[in-house]
Amino acid sequence: MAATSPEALAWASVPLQSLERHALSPRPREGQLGIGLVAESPARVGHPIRVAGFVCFSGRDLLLPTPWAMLLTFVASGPKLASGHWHGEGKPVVASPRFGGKAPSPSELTHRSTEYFTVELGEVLGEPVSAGRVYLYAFHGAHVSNVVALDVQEDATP
Amino acid sequence: MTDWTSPTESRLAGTLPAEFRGIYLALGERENAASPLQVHGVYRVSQADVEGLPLPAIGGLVLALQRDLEPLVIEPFRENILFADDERRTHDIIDGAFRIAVSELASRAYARRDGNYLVFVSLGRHISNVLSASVDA
Repeated sequence: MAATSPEALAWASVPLQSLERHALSPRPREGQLGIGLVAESPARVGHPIRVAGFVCFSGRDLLLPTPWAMLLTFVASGPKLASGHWHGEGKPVVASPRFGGKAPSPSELTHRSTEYFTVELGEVLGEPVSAGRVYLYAFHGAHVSNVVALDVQEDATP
Repeated sequence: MTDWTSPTESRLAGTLPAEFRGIYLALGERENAASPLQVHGVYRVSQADVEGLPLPAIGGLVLALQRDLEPLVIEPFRENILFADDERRTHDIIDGAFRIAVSELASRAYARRDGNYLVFVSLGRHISNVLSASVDA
């Protein structure tokens, strides 16, 4: 298992600021394996903060007891630490090599499958996001996403 | 848990090239597979990389631990009494070293200590390498 790949770190430097530029939503680069995130900006306290991303894994990377589900742990580090889990949409990716009901075929083990998702950050973390600079990332096993530096502003709406 | 005099940490710090920015982790030496897990780390980051975190920046260091894929995310130094000289600051650069008693922290969160562990840390914009280790009962 590998740590964050150089490709993923390079990807993290791509300046994606808004989900409205959907055509520029995160996509794995050719050959890239792992997790990529982008967060909606500007982000305001009390308003939903959408985070979009991708998970690009092969069967060998799925390490969970649930054969068809993905689990990501999200971390928001900043004035206050918050973390939470996201169980995905339950979409079939490939059978889990460790716990699946059947042994995966060689092609399932090596086939790369990419899933795209959008989550609301407060829901995943189980609490509202506080104002300030937040460093957001997600991980699964030894795969860690890029870090998104998100400035969460106080809501100025009267 | 911050110990500037640790020989292991000194060796780690000596391996960092001058242009290094980020965090690097290494497993502490263990007598056998049942010995407690410790990790040693060094970091060198710019002020901008940790903007918004408390000072010293190590207070905002995050430990992400997985025991048989059950995750635990904590800030091991947030509640510690930290001193201004716990970190070195030269112009825009912040650097420091630390040691985390992983098994001690894990024992508070997990019912069992044995298992397969994955460990990494983050500090602001930086993510460390990911370490893996097995612990026997």
